[in-house]
Amino acid sequence: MTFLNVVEIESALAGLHNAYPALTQLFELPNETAEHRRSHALLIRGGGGSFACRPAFVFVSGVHAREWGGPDILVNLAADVLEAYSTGAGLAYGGKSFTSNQLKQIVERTDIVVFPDINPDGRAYSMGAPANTGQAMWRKNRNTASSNNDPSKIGVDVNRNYDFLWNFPVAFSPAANPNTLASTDPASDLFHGMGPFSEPESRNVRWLVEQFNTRYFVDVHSYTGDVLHPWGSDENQTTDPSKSYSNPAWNGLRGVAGDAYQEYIKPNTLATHQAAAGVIRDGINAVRNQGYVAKQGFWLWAQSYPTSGASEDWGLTRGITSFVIEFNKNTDFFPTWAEMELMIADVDAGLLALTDWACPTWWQVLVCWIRQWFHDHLWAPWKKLWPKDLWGPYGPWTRFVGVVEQVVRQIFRSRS
Amino acid sequence: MSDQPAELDGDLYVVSVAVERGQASELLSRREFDFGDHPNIEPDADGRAARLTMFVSKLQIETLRDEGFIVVPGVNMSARGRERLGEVGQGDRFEGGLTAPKGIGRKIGCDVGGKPS
Repeated sequence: MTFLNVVEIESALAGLHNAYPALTQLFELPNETAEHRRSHALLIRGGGGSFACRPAFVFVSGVHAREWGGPDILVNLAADVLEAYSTGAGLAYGGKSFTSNQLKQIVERTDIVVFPDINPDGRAYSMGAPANTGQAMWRKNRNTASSNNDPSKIGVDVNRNYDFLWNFPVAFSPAANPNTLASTDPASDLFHGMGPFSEPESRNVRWLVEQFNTRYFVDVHSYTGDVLHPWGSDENQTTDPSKSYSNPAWNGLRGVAGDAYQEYIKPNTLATHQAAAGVIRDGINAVRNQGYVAKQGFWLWAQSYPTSGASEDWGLTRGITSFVIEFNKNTDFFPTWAEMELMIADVDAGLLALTDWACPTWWQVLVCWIRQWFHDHLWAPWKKLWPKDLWGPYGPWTRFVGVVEQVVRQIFRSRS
Repeated sequence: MSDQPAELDGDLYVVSVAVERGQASELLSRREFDFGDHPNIEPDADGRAARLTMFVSKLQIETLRDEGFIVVPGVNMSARGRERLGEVGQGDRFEGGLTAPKGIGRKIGCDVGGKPS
């Protein structure tokens, strides 16, 4: 094998859907890229249909063109899960294994969605590099909208384009590191685009996340061997909800460690992120003990590394438990394929460990069914009978009652 | 690929730069450098210094050295990218979806025929 090219990623997804039509759905993402490419995502859903609170795991990769192995990791994950489930087998990656029963529960009680190649234009550019260039090192997409015909200004860093404190010159402190947040300069590798979700690639991710009951989101990058969780904007704190990305009163003060502002995260949300990040890390390390580390994205040794417009932070603003995996312990964007195969095993073990950990138990599924029955048969009809716009404080019935009350008051006043 | 040039002007080398706490912050704030994705920084045993990974040109290596940094050069990452182009798939191995990929994970507990053992 070798690294998948851009065409092969899409063909691989179609091939898996054709081979397992009852277990998969192929989604065409709605937004065409600047170079007119269409991307696809694959849903794995077994067990005959869905249920209302079936959790979806949305796994994405390939956002940065030069981080070649991400799409190969996700295509392999889908291929492995589908083959093992459909043959009643378990699955093993080095020292980490999953029984057939674990896989059965994962496939039948969750939705696994893989979107391997967010940025096909960038990947095609990086992988299509002529012999006399260094363009394999390309990071961004290939949008020319801000380039003014200057090739050095082509492209947007899609992972600075999500709607999370996107307007960093306003949202962050001037003292925050300007070289990590994002950039307004189209020539920069961190150029954040013309507005939040200005790029078709980030809009495709948003669209995909909205199609499911997405409870977990993982964006696969390289390298360093980290599992990163939110927030990326500032230190985490669990006590003061007013210190939040959503509160403009703190504009101009974010992104600096050790000052008055830290980003609020609910205690249980932080605990869930830390626990789940640990599960991914342990799943990866169980394969061949690579020493991956789980930590908050804001930190880099003793330094702060604030970011704006990044996917995992945006994911958490939607209530989704979100992570970035930086695969590869070596400082290398371009491992050999033999090395890459080992890393595919590492990361796929970590992702499957997450799905196994967060897979609902049978009683959680039962509670979910019951809750949904009550919703459909009692709560929804009740809400239909008493719609807010009719019976609410400003609805016509309430206004009518108010007029009647006034008339009654007038009558009593005139009598007294 | 054998016809790939080994070295070009503007090629980026992966380097390890010895830094103390303030120096890492100062380097990370300079826009001319490429630090990869989430940067790689490896603290020394006592935690007072670290090695920061960067992608820099030969000219930038000299600049850093002139500024007093200890720079340990690694591989030419641009050249490695060119070399690895030989490990990118050609054409379409999955024939537009007629063929499905096989995963590399070991399937356990089933026989060769694909049925559970």
